[in-house]
Amino acid sequence: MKELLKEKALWISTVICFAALLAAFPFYQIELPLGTGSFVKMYNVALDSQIVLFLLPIASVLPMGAIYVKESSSGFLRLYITRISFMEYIRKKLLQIYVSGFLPFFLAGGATLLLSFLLIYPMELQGEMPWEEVWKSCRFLLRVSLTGGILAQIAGIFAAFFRNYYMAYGLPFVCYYMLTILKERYFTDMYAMYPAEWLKCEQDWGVDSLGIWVFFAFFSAAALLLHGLLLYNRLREI
Amino acid sequence: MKVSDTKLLFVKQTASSVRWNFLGFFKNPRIILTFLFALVLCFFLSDRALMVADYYDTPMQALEPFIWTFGDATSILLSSLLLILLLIDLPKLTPFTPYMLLRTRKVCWLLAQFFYIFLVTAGYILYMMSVTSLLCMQKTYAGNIWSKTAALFAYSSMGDKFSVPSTVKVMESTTPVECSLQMVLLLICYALTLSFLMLYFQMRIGKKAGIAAGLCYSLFGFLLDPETLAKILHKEEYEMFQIRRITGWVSPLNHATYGMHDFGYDALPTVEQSCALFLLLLLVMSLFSFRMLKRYNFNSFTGEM
Repeated sequence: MKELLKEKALWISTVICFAALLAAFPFYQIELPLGTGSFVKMYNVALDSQIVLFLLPIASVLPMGAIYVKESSSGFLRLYITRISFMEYIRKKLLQIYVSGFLPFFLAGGATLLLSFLLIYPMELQGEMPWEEVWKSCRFLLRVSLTGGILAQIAGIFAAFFRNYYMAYGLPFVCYYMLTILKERYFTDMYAMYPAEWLKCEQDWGVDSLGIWVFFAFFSAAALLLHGLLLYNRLREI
Repeated sequence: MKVSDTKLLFVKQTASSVRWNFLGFFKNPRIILTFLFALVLCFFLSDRALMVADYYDTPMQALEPFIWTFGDATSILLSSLLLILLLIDLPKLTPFTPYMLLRTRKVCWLLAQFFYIFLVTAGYILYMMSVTSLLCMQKTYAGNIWSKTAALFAYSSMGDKFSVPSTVKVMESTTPVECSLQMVLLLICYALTLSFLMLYFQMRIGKKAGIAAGLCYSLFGFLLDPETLAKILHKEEYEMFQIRRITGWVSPLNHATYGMHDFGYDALPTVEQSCALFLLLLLVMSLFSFRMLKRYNFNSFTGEM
């Protein structure tokens, strides 16, 4: 984790995400007196914006998506692998990459929610704290962050497979939009493989939308497993 | 050696150099990714035309999405930026180049670069056209006749509202196929000038200069967009015809924009005049490149200059 937190790209990505959320924040809606729960509603508008949807496959893969290419091409991996076991290296990298995709939006989203609370809440009419809405927003943010983690893992898979920066950084973006194209242009009922739906969770995902969490767990596990296998094969070649 | 044999050898050497340039082209991650990005770009750009067709539930001719999408200067600009990524490695230098130059003439090598650029550019533009049509295929038909959606755009203010270039004059004077062919021609000419400019600067100064030249060329076109220029110069609506006329002649990007041509309303260039201007520009660029090649220092054959 220390290694990850020292990574400049992680903080740059977080700042980009934060700037995007601020850009999408509906400041123009601030008109006194504000109704109860306005800070969450405005925060939801920012989180649900097109800019977040567009930025997700970019900001999540930037921090460590191509770490394997970087380490292997610089020769660092050859030295590093003598000090650490294969399994330890794979476990470490899988976790680092997943968290590096998860964190930028999670941190930026958390900071925006806090900022929204500090700025907007004092202007609201006094009433009960809308805990249900806050919880809903947190779940939305969690879904965005989990999608970021999966995308980072996909970048890692492409990095290990192609050993190329272009592919590692570019293909997750292309895959993400391929799914969007398929849903929007050809298979309009195919909502389960539609990235925007993973974030919004508006369609039928079972009781209490539990299906979406099962989907995230399954997709994450599959991506981690595939990435782990690819990394293991690459390490054996050294 | 006979004259005809020399000519044949010249052609053969050029052809083999072109083939060499294309070696590994389809396996190059940068090339693959550029074409994939182009697909995503076409998806974004074709959205507004499809939105109207969806809303009114009217069909479109297969090439109309392409005509509407790439009849706009901003779309051409965005697609040309991807072309810069595609041609970033010009001139093609590999460890094999010195051996090739020993066995061929420099002129053949440079001509091969020209053909390579032409083929890549033309392929890229045709790819954009096909992809745009394929992305909208659920709403399109093949017949060479303007659609009801086109009429909706042309006969109402909806075209302006959605920034979709569709005019009655165009619909009356051409067919969709004819119109799209003219657009492809203009786009190829624009993309070729951009590519040749990059080639010249890459040979003269270096790779970064080539990219900078490409970006400056695009930026020049963007700044000379009538709307942008009017905002910068604080011009009123009634003064727009002057701005349109000047930028229509001066800006290469506007020469590539189909809607910025003479349809009997303004004293703008015709499609033929624009093509002639582009060809003139290409000729000048080719001459400069030939001159540059005589002094070109092949100091690195690692593939990087």
